[in-house]
Amino acid sequence: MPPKPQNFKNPIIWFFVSLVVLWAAPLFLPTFYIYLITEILIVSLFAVSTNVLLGFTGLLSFGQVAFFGSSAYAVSLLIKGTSLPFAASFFLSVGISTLAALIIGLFCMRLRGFYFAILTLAFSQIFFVVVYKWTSLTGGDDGIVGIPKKPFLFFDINGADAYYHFVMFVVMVSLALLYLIIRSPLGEVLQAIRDNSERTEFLGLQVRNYRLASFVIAGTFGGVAGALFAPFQGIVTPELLHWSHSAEPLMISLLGGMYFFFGPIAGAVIFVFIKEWITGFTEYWMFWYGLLLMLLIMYLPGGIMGFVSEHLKRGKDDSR
Amino acid sequence: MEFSYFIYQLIIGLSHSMLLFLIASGLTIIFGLLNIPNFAHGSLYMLGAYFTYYFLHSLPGLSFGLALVFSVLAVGIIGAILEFIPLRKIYERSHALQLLMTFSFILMIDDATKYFAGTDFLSIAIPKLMDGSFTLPGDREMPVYSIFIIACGLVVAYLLWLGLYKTRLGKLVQAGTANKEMLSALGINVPRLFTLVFILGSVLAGLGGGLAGPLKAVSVGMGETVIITIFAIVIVGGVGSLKGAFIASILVGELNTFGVVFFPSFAMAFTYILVIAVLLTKPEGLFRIK
Repeated sequence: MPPKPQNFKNPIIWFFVSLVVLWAAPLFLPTFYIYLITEILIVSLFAVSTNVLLGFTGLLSFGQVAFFGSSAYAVSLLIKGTSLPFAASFFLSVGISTLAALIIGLFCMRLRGFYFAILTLAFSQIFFVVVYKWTSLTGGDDGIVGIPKKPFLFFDINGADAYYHFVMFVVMVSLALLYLIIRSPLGEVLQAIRDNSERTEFLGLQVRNYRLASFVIAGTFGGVAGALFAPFQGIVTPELLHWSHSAEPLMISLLGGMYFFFGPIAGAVIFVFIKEWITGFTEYWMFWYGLLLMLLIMYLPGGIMGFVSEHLKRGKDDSR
Repeated sequence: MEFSYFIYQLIIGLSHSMLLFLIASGLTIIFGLLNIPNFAHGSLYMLGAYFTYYFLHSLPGLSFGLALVFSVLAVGIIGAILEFIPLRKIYERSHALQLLMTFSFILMIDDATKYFAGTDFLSIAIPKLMDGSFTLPGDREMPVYSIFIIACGLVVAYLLWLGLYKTRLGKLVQAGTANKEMLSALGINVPRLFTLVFILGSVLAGLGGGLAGPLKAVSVGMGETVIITIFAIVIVGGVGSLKGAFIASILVGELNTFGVVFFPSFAMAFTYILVIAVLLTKPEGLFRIK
C-alpha cells in the first residue's frame, strides 16, 4: 500500500531557494559538475514525468522513450533543417510529443498491467524502427550529429554554463507545473485510480479519461526532457528510442521512491553519480546497478525516499 | 515469386519458427504458472549460446551435442538461482515490480557476460555431422542444420505436450496455472513446483540459445532483440498455452521471414504491428486455454 503523500511545507520558498542555489552553482563548481547537474536535471524531468504514470496513476509504461525520442529527433531536425528560431522548434517538438502521447494513449487505455506495458513498448518500438530505417530523414544508424545550441528568444545559451541555466530554468518550471498537477484535484483522482480503480469508477469518474490525461501529461513532459537533451548532447541516435532505454526512468523512479514526487529526482541524482563513480574503476557498472535495483526491490520497494520517510516517522513515534 | 523459392523460404521460416518456439514455450509455461513476465528470458537464451561456445572451446574434442547438454544444465542452474533467491520474494507483487526486477537481471547477466566473454561477436561452427546441404527443386541449397532445428522443435513440442498432459507433474502445472491456492490447499508443495517449472523454462531458453549459436552471431545484444518477439508470441498464443505458443511461433517466424523477402526495410516492425493488433482486438491471445 502506497504511503500517504506528505505535503511538504512552504513549497514556494523551497522552489525559490533551490532556484537560487542552482543558479549560483557555476560560481563555485567546475564545469565537469555543471555538465553532470545538467544531465541530472534532464534525467530528473524524464523520470518525474514517467513517474506520473508509474507512481501516481499506477500504470507501467515501457514506451516513454517514444515521446522523449520523438521530441529529441524533431528538435534536431528543426534546428538543423529549418531557419525557425529555437524557441519555436522547441515548443513544436514538445507539441509533437503531446500529439503522439494522445494518439498512442487513446489506443493503450483499454489495457492494464503487463499488457499495457507491452502495448506501449510495441508502439515505441515502431518509432524506433521508423527512425532506424528512414535513413534519408533521420540519418539511420548514424543519427543526427552536430546539433547546435541556438539562442532561445533573446538568450544566448551556447556554452556549458549558459545551457545549464537554460535547462535549469525549463526543468524547474516543468517540475513546478508537475507538482501543481499532482497536488491538484486531477492528481488526487489519479492517485485514487492507482489505489482502487473500480471504486473510483463507482464515484462516477471516467477513469479512462483521467488515465489518458495522465498519459498525455507524462508524454508532454517527457518531450520537454527530450527537446532539452538533443542540443545538450549535440547528437541523437536511434539507440535513444530503443525499448531498453525506457527502463531507465522507471528504474530511477523505483530507486528514489515512486510514491514520492521527489523520489525520481533523488533517484536521478543517485543514478548519475553511481554511473560516474562506478565507471571510474570498472566499465561494468550496469552489473552493480542491476544488483542494487534487485536488492532494492527485494528489501526496500519504497525506494530511498520510502526508507527515509519511514525512519523519520518511526523517530517521531518514538519521541512521543 | 517462383514456387520453389516460396517453398525454400517456407522451410527456412519454419526453422526460424521452431527456434522461437523453443524459447517461447519456456516463457509461456513460466508466465502461465508463476505469473511472472520474465524479461530476462532472452538473457537466458543468450547465456545458452555463450555457454555452448565456452564448452566447445574450453574442452577441445567435445561434441556439439554434449556442449549443448552442459550449457543447458548451466542455464538451468542460473534459472534455479534466480527463482530461489530474488523471484521468490516478489510472487505476490504487481507485474510492474516483477517486470522491473527481471529487467535488473538483464543488466546483471549482460554485463557479467561482457566481463567474461568480451563484446566481440563470437561464432559457433555448425557441427560436422550436419554441416552440409541438399538440393531442393529449383536448385536451392537447403542447409541440413535448418532441418535439424525443425526436427528439434517438433521433438521438444511433442515431449512438452506429453509431459504437460500425460504426467502427474504436468497435471500439477496445469492445475497450478488454473488455481494456485487450491493446489496448495490439496497439500502440493507449490513453491517447489514453481522452482522446477522455472528451471524447465530456463532450460528451454538455453536450448534455444545453444541451437541458435551456429546460425547467428553470438553477442550480448541477442537477448534483448529476441525477448520482445518472444513476448509477442506468448501474448498472441495466449499466456500459458503451449499449443498457442506453437502456432504463434510459426505465425511470427514466417511473418519475419517473408517480411524480410517482401519488405526488407520495414520487416522489423511486423512483429510489433502483430502484437499491437492482437492486444487491441483479443488481448487474451488467440488460443487461450482458460
